[in-house]
Amino acid sequence: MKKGLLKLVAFSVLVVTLASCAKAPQVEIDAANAAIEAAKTAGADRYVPESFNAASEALKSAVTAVEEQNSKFALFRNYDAAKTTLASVNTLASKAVEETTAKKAALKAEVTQALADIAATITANKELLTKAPKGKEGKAAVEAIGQEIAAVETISTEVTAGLTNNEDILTLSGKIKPAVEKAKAINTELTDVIAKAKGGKKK
Amino acid sequence: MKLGWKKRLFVVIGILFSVFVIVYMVLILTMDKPPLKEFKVCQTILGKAKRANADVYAPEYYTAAERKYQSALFEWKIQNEKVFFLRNYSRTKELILTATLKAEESNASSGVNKNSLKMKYLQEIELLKHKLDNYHDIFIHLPLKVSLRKNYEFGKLSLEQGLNAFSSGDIMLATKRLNEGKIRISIADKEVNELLKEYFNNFSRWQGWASATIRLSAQNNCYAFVVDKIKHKGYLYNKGKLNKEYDVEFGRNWIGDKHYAGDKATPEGMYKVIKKMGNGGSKYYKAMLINYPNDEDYASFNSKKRQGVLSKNSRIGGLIEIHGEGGKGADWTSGCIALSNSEIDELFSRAPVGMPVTIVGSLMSLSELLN
Repeated sequence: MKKGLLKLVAFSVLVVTLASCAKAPQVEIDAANAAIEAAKTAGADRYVPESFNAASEALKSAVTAVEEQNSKFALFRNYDAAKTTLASVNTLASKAVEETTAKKAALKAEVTQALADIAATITANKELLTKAPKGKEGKAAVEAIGQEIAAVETISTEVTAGLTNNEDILTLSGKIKPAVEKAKAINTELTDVIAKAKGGKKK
Repeated sequence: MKLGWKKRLFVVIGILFSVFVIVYMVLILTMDKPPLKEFKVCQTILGKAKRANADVYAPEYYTAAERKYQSALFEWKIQNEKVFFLRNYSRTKELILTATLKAEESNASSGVNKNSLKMKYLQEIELLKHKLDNYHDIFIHLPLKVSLRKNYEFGKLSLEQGLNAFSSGDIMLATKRLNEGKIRISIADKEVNELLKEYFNNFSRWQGWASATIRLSAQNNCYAFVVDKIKHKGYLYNKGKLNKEYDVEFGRNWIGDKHYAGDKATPEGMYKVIKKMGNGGSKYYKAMLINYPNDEDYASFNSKKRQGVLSKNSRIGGLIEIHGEGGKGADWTSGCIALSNSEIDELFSRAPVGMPVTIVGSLMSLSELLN
């Protein structure tokens, strides 16, 4: 009876000891890695680099925290802090994906608006070009401006095609913005020249 | 008092267990410690380097730092898989310290590289803008292909895209766009340079003609008219001093000398006004006829015909005038020099028959013109 009780106690101690050896959160690590990879695939590293870096740095901290526990004697391991950090990696990565989606949508709206603006400005510029004075350097200058308008128009066509083909919106945005500025500058130049010519005629 | 064998066995096991526990505790207490602090330091520096875009501006250092970091982590994992008293983190420490050093280097290099790229970009864009500004007046008059002009405009737009990227801090993209723009502009540049270089082979002759004409104006106390084709300007000299400058227009193929009738080129050489025609006397408002072709033109024309450069049927042409109805902003005449009516009125009133008229490609050298 006494012997049996002793064996039971020894067995219980062994079971408790073995059971208390915490396991590394490999599933959580894999999930966090996958979340970072998904954020990268979504383009978060380019569109929202700060948020993406925060998530990546959190993953590094979490992996270090896991190894810190792995370095300890089995009975003293505790992965709770690492698990919390790994959970935050998922949150941060999801946030980065959401921000990327929002930024892409905002950029798409901006590019769409820019294309509408540029189309209107190009039409106006072509109209103004017919009214531009041809004197002095006029005709050559008008021809040169015509080429500038043509270049702006080609950029606009390229960006429109890019938008239809779902090309990288950040690149498209970088392409269209200077073209819009150029179209506006041409418009101002032509408007001024025409206004000056009209003023000159009145005199 | 003798102990029973069971009790003796119990005591022996107890002693052995105690020894085992003590040895185990000693091993636990003296086991090698992982370089946790070093890992955290490295992570901080790597994060800083990433935020400074070291992966873009110092990729070789940054990639090396990341690789070393991953190697250190891998080595740490390997050691952790061993029995605790066999673990040795010295290699891990060595690797993480190297990773930290590389991360620091990448951080420092990133700043230096970004700044030097920034400076280089600013210098190049400044030079290019200066060149384009200088170029503009000449470029718009040159008889170039539409596709070449369009390419040139695309080049200018690429530069604008680069400036846009530069203002948003993306120096790498700005440099990329600058280089794209440079390539497009250089295509036009090459063609223009080839055209002008060949044209400017006659520069010393032009200089001689212009100097002689101005000297003549000074010696004879008379008016003289010097025409600069590249600048599209006509300079009226009186008594050797510049009196007035006029905007002038030429034939479509104004680059180069006139070779034959109908080539739409304006002749180059030293001429004089031989006849003045008032309003109604010329097709183009008022006009002053010059003595093209002169003896030199005849000699050159005949020589080219003999050499077979010109066909036997070609004629030398003539009736080259300085006339009105210009100011169109284009080179539209059949080889004459056109001024606006108000300007021909003024020139006509001053210029006598016999006034020297010298037509040159340029009064400035090619390097002066392009730089």
